[in-house]
This record gives sequence, C-alpha cells and structure tokens, in this order.
Amino acid sequence: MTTAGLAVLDRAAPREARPLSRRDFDVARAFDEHGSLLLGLAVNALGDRHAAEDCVQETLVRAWRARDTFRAERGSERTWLVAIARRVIIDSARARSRRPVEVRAVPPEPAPQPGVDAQVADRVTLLAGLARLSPEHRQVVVEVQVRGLSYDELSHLTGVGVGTLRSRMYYALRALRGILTEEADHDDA
Amino acid sequence: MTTPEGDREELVLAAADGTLDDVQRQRLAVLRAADPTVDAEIAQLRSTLEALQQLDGWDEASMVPPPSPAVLRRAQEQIASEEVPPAGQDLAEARRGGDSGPRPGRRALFGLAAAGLVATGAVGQDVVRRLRPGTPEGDPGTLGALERAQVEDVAPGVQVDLGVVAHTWGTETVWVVDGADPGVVYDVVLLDRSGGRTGSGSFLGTRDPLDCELNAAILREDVAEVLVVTAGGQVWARAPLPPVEA
Repeated sequence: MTTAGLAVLDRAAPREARPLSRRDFDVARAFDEHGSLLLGLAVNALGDRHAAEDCVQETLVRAWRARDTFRAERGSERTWLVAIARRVIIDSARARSRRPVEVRAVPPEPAPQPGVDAQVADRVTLLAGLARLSPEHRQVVVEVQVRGLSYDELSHLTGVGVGTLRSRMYYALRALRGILTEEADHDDA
Repeated sequence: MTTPEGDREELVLAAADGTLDDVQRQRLAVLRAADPTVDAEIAQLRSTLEALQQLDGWDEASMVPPPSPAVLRRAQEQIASEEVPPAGQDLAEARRGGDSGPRPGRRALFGLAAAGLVATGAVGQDVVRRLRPGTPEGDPGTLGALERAQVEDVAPGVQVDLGVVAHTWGTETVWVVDGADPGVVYDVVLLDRSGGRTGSGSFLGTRDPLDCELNAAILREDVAEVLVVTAGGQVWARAPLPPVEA
C-alpha cells in the first residue's frame, strides 16, 4: 500500500494504521506455535475437523496478507492470530448456516433467520475467549459453567480445594471478560 | 479468601452465581458501601456466566493435537501463488503457469473496443471474462461467479475493466488495466456500506495492458464500492457495486 492508500484506510480506521515497512511473518513458525490452539478453537466452534483445518489454513493465509497490520504493542501474535481465526470461523459458520448456493446449484436455500449471524458471531467470540484462557482457568469454567459440575464434584475429580477452584473461577471470568472486551475493541477498530 | 481482595473475590463471585448466604450478603452490603464499583463487576460476571451457560460443550482434547501438516503445506502454496512473481511475468500468467493455451491479445481486444467493433459496455466484461475462462456469470454475491462491474471516473485514454467474484472467504477482484502510468503504485480499496475501508493490495502501472487478481477479506455482500487510489491520494477509478439481494 502507498502512503495515499494508507491514508484512505486511516481515515476510516485510524487505529489500524499500517506501517510502511513490511513485517516478516513466518507461516511455518506460526503454524508450529499456534496451530493447535487455532485448530482447537475451530473444532469447538464448527464441530468438524476437516472444516476446522480449512479455517486454520485460511487464518494463516489471511495473517500473511495482513502481516503489515500486526502491532506488537496492541497484543501478542497469538492474540492477533486468534482474532483473525475468529473472523474466519465466523465466516465459515455463517456460510454453513446459510448453506450457500454455488453456481449452477438449484433451488436456492431460504435466507437465514434474522439474528442468526449475531448469534453465530457471539458464540464464536465466546469460544475464542475460552481458548485463550489458561488450561487451569478453562477447566474450572468448562466443568462448572458449561458441563454443570458442582465445585465439590470438581474438587473430588481434581484434588484441588473448593476455595482454590472458586478463586480460579473468579479470575477466569475476569480474564474472559477482558478478552471479550479486547475482541470488541478489535471489531470497532 | 481471607485477605480483603480474597473477600471481594468470594463475595463478587457468589453474588454473580447466585450462591450468597446470609452472612455473605451482609458482608457484601458492607463492601458495596465502601466500593460502589462492586455492583458493576457483579453484573459483568453475571452476564459472562449466562453466556457461558448457553454453550453446548467444549472439547478440551481438540486443543492438543496440531493440525495436519497438509494444512501448512496448502497455506504455503496459496501464499506462494499470491507473492509477487518474477519481473516480466504478471500475476495472472504466473498463476496459470503459462500453459493454459493461447489467449487473445489484450491490445487487440482494446483495439476492437476503441474501434467500436464490440458493443460499448460489454467490451470490458468480455476482456475480463477471457481471463477467467470457465467462470460463469451470476448475480451479485453468487459464490464463485463473475459479476459485471462498471468502472467510472477514469481519465481519458485509460481503460479499466473489473470483474468481481464473491467467495466464502472474501471478495476477489479481477482487473484489466490499460493506461496506468508505468511504475506508479495504485492501491485497491474496498468500501463497505458504512464507509469502512478494506485494503486489497496494489499494482504497478505498466506500459502494456496489465491484468491481475486481488483478494480482500470482506464479504461481497458488505462491499459497496471498489476504489483505485493513486500515490497522490486521488481516486483514480471507482466502481460502485449493487447491493446483494437477500
């Protein structure tokens, strides 16, 4: 992009100003370091490993295309990749919910219900937040809030005291809240 | 949870998940009087809890194994196909590998248009379509189909032809450009209906007509207009796109 092109982008989204120099983005290293996280997120969101691997591939390609937009001061490369993956997965989930009609295919599918897109986006955003929690924090959140275990049951299973588990829950929820706010800021930027 | 901070953790979480007992309720009243922000935090945690409880599950085992090595290989192949080709070879030729058979001389096509031998308005699309043999036409937003786009505001003597292809991953633009100043950088920017901009790469003007294909991470249904912007910041060409029908 030229300076003029950057200015056009900056006028609409000043917080995404692109640097003039290109940053190296090592796709293989990103795959090694973050591939499991991206795949886990996509599998949880889509429930389909094949589709999830397509999303990881697309995330790496989009990250490479957008490598100029990475800002270390705004967050880690992992955070940046998860934000890209979230958008890729939302696109994929929306496309699957719409069951898009490829050329030559008839008849067309009915349009999705109003609000479905927002529900898909909210769910994927929440799953992306869960994926970014530490394993210990994610465990207490998933087991108690998603699977419905009591703290006593989880304590029995893990050998961790109830007080410690509740403390982990508090900090996990705060961390998750912070991640979701950060994602909303990314969307607004 | 005996420290003041631990006390706060305990009370806020209990209030958020609805497990306060009478003693905790009294302690929370004291805390609330000393720190009015506690109610906002309780409300935030409660809404986060409610969202989590709507999830239908979580597969922790899927967080461990890496993706298949084929995922990396495909990503690298796709990236390689989008990297700038060697000098003297344009992007479309690089992608085709030069083995797609004879193509019409682009100069000849422009010449036909200039001579009025092809119907005005369809000329550009014919040129663009020849770059994508086998790609059918379709209504705006039809996945995988080539959409006609009308380019406006180009200078006299300049010919810019544009096709648009909707994909699940974004929007592809297919260009044939004649009359761009050699060596000058032109940026392609896609505008959404709220005025937001998505960059879609650049091309260098060439002495001969050039063709290229650019990708943007924005869905076709969200694109209102395609712009080509010069280094001086001027809009060099624009193509308003019709809305995608639901």
